[in-house]
Amino acid sequence: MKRVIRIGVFETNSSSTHSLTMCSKEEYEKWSKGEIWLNHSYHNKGNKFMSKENAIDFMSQHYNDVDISGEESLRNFEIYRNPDEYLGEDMETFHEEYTTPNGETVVAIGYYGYDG
Amino acid sequence: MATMGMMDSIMELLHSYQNGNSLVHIFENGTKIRETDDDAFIPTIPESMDVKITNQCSLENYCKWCHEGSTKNGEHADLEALVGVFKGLPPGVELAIGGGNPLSHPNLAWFLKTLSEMGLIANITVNELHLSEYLPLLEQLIAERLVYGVGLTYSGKDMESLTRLNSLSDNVVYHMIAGVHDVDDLPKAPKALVLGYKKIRKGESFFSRSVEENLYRWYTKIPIYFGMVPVSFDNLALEQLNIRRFLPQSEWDKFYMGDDGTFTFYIDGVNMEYATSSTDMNRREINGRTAEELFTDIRGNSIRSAP
Repeated sequence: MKRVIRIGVFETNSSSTHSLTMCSKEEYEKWSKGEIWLNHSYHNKGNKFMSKENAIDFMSQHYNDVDISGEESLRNFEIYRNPDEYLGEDMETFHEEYTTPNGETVVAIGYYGYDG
Repeated sequence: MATMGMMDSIMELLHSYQNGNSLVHIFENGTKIRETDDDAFIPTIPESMDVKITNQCSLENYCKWCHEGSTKNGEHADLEALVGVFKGLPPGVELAIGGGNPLSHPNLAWFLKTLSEMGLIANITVNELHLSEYLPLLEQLIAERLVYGVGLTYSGKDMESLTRLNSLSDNVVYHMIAGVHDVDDLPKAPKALVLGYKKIRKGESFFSRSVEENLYRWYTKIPIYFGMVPVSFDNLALEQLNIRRFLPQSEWDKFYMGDDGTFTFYIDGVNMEYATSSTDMNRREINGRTAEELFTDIRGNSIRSAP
């Protein structure tokens, strides 16, 4: 599956857009409960949901001399236990839900760009 | 949740259509999702077109950087002929209508109504300095849902009209040109589209050391504003400001909508010509062909996959 998104703006000129994460509603609910974590780390080359244990294993392959078992450490490596932690406090954020014609509900969350 | 400006909403789907091997969904706030089960998109029709409907503009002597070549006495497009180009496109395809001043075209309302009946989504780009004269017309077009997105070339001189326009629609996007506008005005926009500096026509003669210095300020200061305002970029600005330096490859792949000519192209309705983009001077005559046929030509007379 390949998917490209333009969010919250009509085409008044050819354009690109912001930072965003999309997932199924089921994934979002599990993530909200902390049952799965979002691996947004540089080494993952994209977003991927996984269990906390798998996230630790994944990062251990890249940082074998650093203890990353703690939740604070995981967050430092951009692995987030829930949407609140991912979105943070300082950015303008969005949360939208879309139902595609085949009935799939997709959740889109994110923040507008980067603070540098 | 400790977040600023949180927007929770369930968006209404406006249209879905098949485009080659991909399915495209477009929602009421402008969000567009393009998806395929394959590894690459192979479009057969344009998802959007930049469409010039007039060369008439009363701001000929004001916008000294403008690349459009419009004048006070510029010609209007024959919209009855132009509308035939769009026949056969599925509902949901977008038109980014501009000029000149598109609001000055005497057949604009008829044109937009006809596009609406075809299910096409019309967006329009206007100059803030035209609002005092044309705001009632624009209000009517928005109210009748004949216009969805409004691109507004910002100057910050008519705050009363700006306030009024923003109260009418959530789909107003301020257009700001890197090299011309002040990057520090970005937070004044409800949403912003940053356009690259087009060094053609008047833009070529206007280009100077001060434009270069302005571009440099945009280049260095743009990341400061990423968290403050929803900001997009046209493909030229992406290149001139090297926006890619801020995005990991995975994010770039997710949000980059494609090079000019891969999902979009440009139509000059006044001269009935088409090209890859408005800055592409390799113009070709339309000669009675449809947008689908023109798009096939733009993509090289053969179907290629898009990244």
